[in-house]
Amino acid sequence: MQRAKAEFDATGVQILAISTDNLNGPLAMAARDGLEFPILFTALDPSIPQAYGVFNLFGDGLASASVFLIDKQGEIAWKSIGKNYTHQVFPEEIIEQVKKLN
Amino acid sequence: MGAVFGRKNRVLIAISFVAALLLLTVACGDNLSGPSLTSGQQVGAAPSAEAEQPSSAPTPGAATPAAVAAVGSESKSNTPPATATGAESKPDASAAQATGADSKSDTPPPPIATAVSKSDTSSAVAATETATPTGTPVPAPAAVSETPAPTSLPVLVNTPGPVAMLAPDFTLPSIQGPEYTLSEYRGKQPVLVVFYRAYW
Repeated sequence: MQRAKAEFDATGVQILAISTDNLNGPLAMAARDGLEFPILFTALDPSIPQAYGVFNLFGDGLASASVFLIDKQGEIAWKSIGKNYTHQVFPEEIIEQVKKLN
Repeated sequence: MGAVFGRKNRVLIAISFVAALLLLTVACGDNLSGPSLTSGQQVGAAPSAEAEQPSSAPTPGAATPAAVAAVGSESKSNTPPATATGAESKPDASAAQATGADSKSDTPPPPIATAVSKSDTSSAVAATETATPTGTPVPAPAAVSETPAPTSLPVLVNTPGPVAMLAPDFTLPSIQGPEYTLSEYRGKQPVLVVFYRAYW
């Protein structure tokens, strides 16, 4: 994600990363990787991942790794919801979807 | 688009179907005092309930039309899952199949299912209270709630599905400090909302 930050910037998309984990993970991650996009945290409040339908899909009380592309009209134009623990969306795939918006 | 939401809805619809059908089975079984579980027997048994109740109940047959209406509308609207209710071991699987066959037409059934379950309970109440005169006002709302269900069904079926879904708004603090609100980006630029649980 961080690697592709420049490419995301070029497409004009705003990245909002939401952590539903406890804060140790993202804090350590941001400190280590020097992330340039905002990392929001829910303080273990599941309401937002629940609203997006990604909460607790694996019965572990966490949101599954998922990406929602929201267009300028505020509508979900594309999404990728993690089907398992190791689910990964490659930045190239996301960028391709972002470019479809324009 | 709404893969997860749709799946939840299907599960809810399947559950409501099964609940309504079980209610109907119980109500008919109580009325007939027989182990009639298949829908064919239910539908065929409705006239016998109609025939029994006026003889045993002094009240005018207000209760029996509700029962007949419940059974009739149930057999009309729920035919695919109803045929499988005889095998009580897996009614939800067949109901899920029936509702899952068309993702757009499975939205309308809930009002019917609820209407059927409502009328089931009220007709069951009416059937149990056949001797008392209080049974007469009960079927009236059941008959009323029964009528809009078939008319609303085609309307809902013909409505086009949602093309896009408005993203749920949120305002969250960030570990960098400022709060971010999703709706602030509306009309300005697209947003990539990323839920993550590990490094990627």
